[in-house]
Amino acid sequence: MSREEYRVDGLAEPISHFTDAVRAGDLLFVSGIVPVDAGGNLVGGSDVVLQTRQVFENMRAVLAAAGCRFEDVAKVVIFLTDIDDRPRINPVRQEVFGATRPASTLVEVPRLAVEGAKVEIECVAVVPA
Amino acid sequence: MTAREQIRVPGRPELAHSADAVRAGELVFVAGILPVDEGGGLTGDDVVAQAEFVFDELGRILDAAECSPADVVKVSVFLTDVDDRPRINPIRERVFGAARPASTLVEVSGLAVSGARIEVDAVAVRPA
Repeated sequence: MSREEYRVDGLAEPISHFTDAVRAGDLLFVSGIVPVDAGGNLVGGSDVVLQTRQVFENMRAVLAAAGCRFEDVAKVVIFLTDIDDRPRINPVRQEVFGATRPASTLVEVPRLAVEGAKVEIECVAVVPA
Repeated sequence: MTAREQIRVPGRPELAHSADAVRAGELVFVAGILPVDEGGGLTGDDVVAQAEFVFDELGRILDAAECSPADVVKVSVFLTDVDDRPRINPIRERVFGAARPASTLVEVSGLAVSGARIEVDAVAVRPA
């Protein structure tokens, strides 16, 4: 089965030894995405809603690099530093995914790799035929 | 080729009701690896020593699944102290070399074995 790495122009350089996404056959495995701009700077201050919007904008770019859209996402895993933020980011998820409902896991974690980040989201998508 | 195959590697601890990896078609799902030896003992107090062990074990499990680190598509790294991330980076560079998997790294409040500071799981694709 084929394996292809994706490093997306305009997204911050990965902070460790990894890339933005890797395709395995028809599946696209997207790295955990944090709310940073192209320079790696935190976006959205301490506002989890603004942070989540940035995460999904970055995710849109990663998916697009492999020819995917949000409707192709099969699974998301959402890491929040405050589980009580869940209801606040739900409208963003609804807006992004629309009629599509991916499988999902959401958990609280004490800290994320980027200081000040309150949300990180990874996903697996199906590359359209 | 069968659709689902469980992989158990000799010398791996039996910590829970799980296999070391399960192959599903061409994908191999590697269970979370802890820095624990066959007897269930911690393999070091230091996160670097623990990470060395964990990534060596990942290599052994991938080998048993007829894969190598270059075939890994995704890793998840769980640390009890996210500030340890820079310390384990050199190990990730050594293990994966020119290959860069997708990755998620988060801090967690506890792992299944007391004293463990790192756990890593992975998804790999069988080479053609």
